[in-house]
This record gives sequence, structure tokens and C-alpha cells, in this order.
Amino acid sequence: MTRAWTYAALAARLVLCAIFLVAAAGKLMDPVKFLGGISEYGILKGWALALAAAGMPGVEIVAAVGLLIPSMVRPSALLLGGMLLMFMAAMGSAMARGLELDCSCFDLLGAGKAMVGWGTQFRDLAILIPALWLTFRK
Amino acid sequence: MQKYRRPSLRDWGFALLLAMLGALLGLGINSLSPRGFDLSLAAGQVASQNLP
Repeated sequence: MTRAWTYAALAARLVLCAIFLVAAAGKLMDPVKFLGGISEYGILKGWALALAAAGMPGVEIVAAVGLLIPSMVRPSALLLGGMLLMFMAAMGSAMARGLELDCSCFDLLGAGKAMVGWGTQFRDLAILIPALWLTFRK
Repeated sequence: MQKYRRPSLRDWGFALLLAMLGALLGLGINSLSPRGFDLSLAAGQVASQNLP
């Protein structure tokens, strides 16, 4: 049974790593579009927005690669979980204000727009669950 | 039976370190990439609601 959990953790690490590398690649393909995308949320302004738009893909890359290093799994999963909670809070804020906007998550690779809503919230929740499991498992 | 444990102070510290390293990496990629944007210009444009 322990071996099954070990394989499950390995699978979760690989899947999360792939998801965040794809997300970062999409943002790096068109940084200006990503900057415009997150400005539509109306949460960050000025320098904070510019720094977040430039820095976020790098944080995603580092956290994703960290999942591949055994000693860095827990900190990386902790960081990814925190980012996912932040994304969900931002989307929740946009939903509460009745904003209709593109979530700027993965769709920049040409997969089409994903409008902020319950679908994107549940998608992030589905990604958050393995991140939390990797953070808290022994 | 799976057992769980809370992240230690070391885990939180490394998570913060990874976040800072990642932010620096992102800023570096943005400044080196031909697709990247000028941070000060972008900050100013966003402040004036005049996005590219």
C-alpha cells in the first residue's frame, strides 16, 4: 500500500510539474497579453502589476522544477498551493464584481479563451488538491 | 494508513526562497526576451489605463 502511495505522489508531482510548465510557457509566449489579462482583474496596479506579470511565469517554472527534486517537493507544493489559492481568490473577486474576463491561465497557448467562472474555479481546485496532498503528506 | 504532517519552518523558508528565485528568473527572462515588456513603461501605461 505504501508503494502505491509513493507512485501516486510521483504521478501527482509529474502532472503538477507539466501543468505549471505549460502555464508558464503560455505566459512567456506573450507577456504583454498576460500583462493586459491580469490588469483586467483590477486588483494590482502600476509597478505591482508589472512586476507580477513579469515574475509570475518564473515562479511557476521554479516551483514546477522543484517538484522534480525530492528534497524540494514540499516547499514547491506549498508555493504552488499558495499560488493556486491566490488565483482562486482573484477569480472569486472578479466573479463577485460581475466581471466577464479571460482568466489568463492556460489559454495563451492557443487553446481558446477560458472565461472566469465556476469552471475555472473548479479546475484550480482540482489542481490544488494534489498540491495540498503533496504539502501535507508524510 | 497515510500520515500527515504540517510543513515545517524549513519548508516555509524554502518556499519563500523558491518564490524569490522564480520572480528573479521571470524578471530576467522578461528583460532578455524580445517579447518582453519594459517594466517602467508598462507600470506607467497600466496606471494611466492605456494598455498595449
